[in-house]
Amino acid sequence: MISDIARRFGEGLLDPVLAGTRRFSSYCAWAGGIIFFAIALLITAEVVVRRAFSISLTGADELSGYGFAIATTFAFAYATLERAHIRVDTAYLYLPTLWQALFDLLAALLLLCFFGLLMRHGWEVVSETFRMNAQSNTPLHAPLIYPQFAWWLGLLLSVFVALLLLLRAVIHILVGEFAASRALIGTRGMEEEIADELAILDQRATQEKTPR
Amino acid sequence: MIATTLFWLCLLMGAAISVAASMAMLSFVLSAQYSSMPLIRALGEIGWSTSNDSIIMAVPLYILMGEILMRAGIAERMYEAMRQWMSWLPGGLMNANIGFCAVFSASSGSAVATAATIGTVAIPEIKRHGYNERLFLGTLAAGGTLDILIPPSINLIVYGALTDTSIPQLYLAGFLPGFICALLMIVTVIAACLWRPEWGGRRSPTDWPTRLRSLLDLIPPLLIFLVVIGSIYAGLATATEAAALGLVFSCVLAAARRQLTIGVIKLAMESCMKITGMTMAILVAANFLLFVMAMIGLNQQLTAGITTLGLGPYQTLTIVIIVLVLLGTFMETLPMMIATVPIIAPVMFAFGFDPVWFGILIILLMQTGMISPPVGVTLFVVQSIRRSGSVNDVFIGSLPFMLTLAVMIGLLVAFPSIALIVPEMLGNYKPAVLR
Repeated sequence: MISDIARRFGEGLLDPVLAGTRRFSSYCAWAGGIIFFAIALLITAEVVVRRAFSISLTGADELSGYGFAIATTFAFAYATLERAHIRVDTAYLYLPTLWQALFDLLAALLLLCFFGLLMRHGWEVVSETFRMNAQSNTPLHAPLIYPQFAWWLGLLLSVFVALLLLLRAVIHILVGEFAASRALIGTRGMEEEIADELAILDQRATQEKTPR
Repeated sequence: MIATTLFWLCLLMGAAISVAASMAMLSFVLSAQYSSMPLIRALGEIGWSTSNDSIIMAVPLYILMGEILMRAGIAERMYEAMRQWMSWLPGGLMNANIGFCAVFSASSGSAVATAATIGTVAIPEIKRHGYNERLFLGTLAAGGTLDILIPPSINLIVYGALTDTSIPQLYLAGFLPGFICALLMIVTVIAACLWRPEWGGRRSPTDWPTRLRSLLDLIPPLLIFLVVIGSIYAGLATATEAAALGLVFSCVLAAARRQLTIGVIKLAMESCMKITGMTMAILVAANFLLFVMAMIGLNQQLTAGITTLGLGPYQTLTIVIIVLVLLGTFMETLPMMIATVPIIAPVMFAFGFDPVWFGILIILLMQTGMISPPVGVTLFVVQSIRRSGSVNDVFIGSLPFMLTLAVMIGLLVAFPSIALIVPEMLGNYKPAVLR
C-alpha cells in the first residue's frame, strides 16, 4: 500500500519534474559553454589589441571572471545530474547491491549538504553586496550584485537538483528498484563512460561514411 | 589533530562519498572540533572567489580546446600524419603512439576521451602489421599519461592554484621533463624491439609524397600548441590568455576543415561543463579546507609532527613517494592530487624542497598511478577499445613503462635541475634550497 503510493508519487510527480529539470539543466550547460566561447573571444580580442595597438581594453579579465563564476555553479548542477562528481569506488564496487544503494544515498545526502551550505553562505555574500550596493574595486566599477546573484542562482539550481535526485532515489530504493536508483545517483562506472565515448566515435564514423 | 584529519579523510573517501563533498565535510568536522570561531561563514566568500579566479579559468578553456580538436577529427588526422613520419624507427607505429600523445597534450581534461580517440585508430593496426600486442597496448596507456606533464597541463594549473606556485614557472619546468620522459618511453620501445625484433611488426609502407601531404594535417595543430605554449614562455600572455587564443585558433582550424558542426560544439560544451563542474566543486571544497587548516594551525602541527619523528628531508620524500604511488593505484589523478597536495606540500616546502620542482615530481607520481593496476584509467580505456582479450595484456604491456617512469622519478630527485634549469634560465626563477 505505502509502496504503491510511493511509486505513484515517484512516477507521477517526481519523474516529470526530473525530466524537466534535466532539460533545463542541459540548456544551462549549453549557455555555460557559450559563455566560455565568449570569454575566449573577449580575451583573444584583448590580447590582440593590446599587443598590436598597445591599447589596453580594461575589464576583459574582470568580465570573463564573472562569466566563469556563473558558468561554474550551473556546471555544478549539470555535473550532479550527469553523475560526474568523482567518487572513489574501489571498496564500493565489492559491496552487495543494497549496501551500494545505501552508500549512494549517503553520498547524495552529503553532496546536498555541501551545496546547501554553499548556497546559504553564498547568500550572505550576495545580500552583503546588495546592502552595501558594492561595486568592483576596478576601473569598471561593475555593480557586483548582478554576477553574484546569477552565480547564486546556479547554486540554487544545484541544491534543487541534488534534493530532487536524492528524493527520487529514496523512493526507488523503498520500492526495491535498485538499478533505477543506481542510474540516478550511483557511480558512473568506467565501462559506462568508455561505452559512451565509443558510441560517439561510432556515430561519427557512420556519419563520415554516408555521403553528404 | 593529524590523526583525526586522516581518519575522516579515509573514512569519507573510502565510503565512496564524492571527493568534493568529502573534503567539505572534513573541513566542517575540523572547524567544529578545533576552532572556536564560526569558520564556515567564510565558505560563501571562498566559493565566490574560487569561481571567478582568473587563473583557474584557463582550465575550462583548455578542456574546450582539446574537445574541439578531438571531436572535429583533427587529432585523428594528426596521428595519421605522425605515423607517416615516425614509423621507420624500430617499433614503428608504437613510437608514433607516444609521439602523438606527447604533442597532443592539451586535452588532458578527459584522459578517457583522448585514449578512446587514439585507441580506436591505432588498435586495428596491431593485427594488420603484426605488432606485439601487449607492448603496443602499453605504449597507448603510457603515452596517455604524458598529457598531464607536458604543458598546457590542467593538473599543473590545479597544483599551482593549490600551492600558490607560479603557473608560468610550472609550465617552464614541465617542458624538459616531459620531453625527456617521452624520449625515455620511445627508447624503451626501441630497446624492446631491438631485443626482440619480432615485436616491432612489419614496416608500414610510406613514401615522400604521402609524407609531405600529411604535413597539412600535422602542422596546423602543431602551430596551435606552439602559439599556446610559446606565448606563455615568451611572456606575451598568461596561461589563461594562451588558453583563450588556443581555443579560438582551434575553432578556426576546425571551421576551415568544415568540421565545426553544431554536433561537435554541443558535445564539446557538454563535456567541458561536466568536467568543469566536477573540478570546480572539488576546488571550492579544497580551498575551504586549506583555509580551515591554516586557521586551526594544522600545517604547523604537520610540520612539527614530521620533525618530532626525526625524519630527514629525503626520508620524508621517500615516504611521500611511496604513499602517492600506493594511492595512485586506486585513485584517479585529479581528485588524488587535490586531496593530498594541501596536506603534503606545506611539509615538503618547510623542508626547503622547491615548490616548482615538487609540482613536477607530483605529476610524475600521478602518471605512474595512471598506468598502475588495478585502477589505472588509461589501462581500462585501452582494454575496452580492444573489446577482446584479457586486461592483463594491458597491465603487462605497461610494466616496462612503469619502470621508465621510475627511472624518470629517480632522475628528477637526483638532478632537480631537470625541472629547474629552464625556469632559471628563461624565467629568472630562484629555486628554494634544502634546509
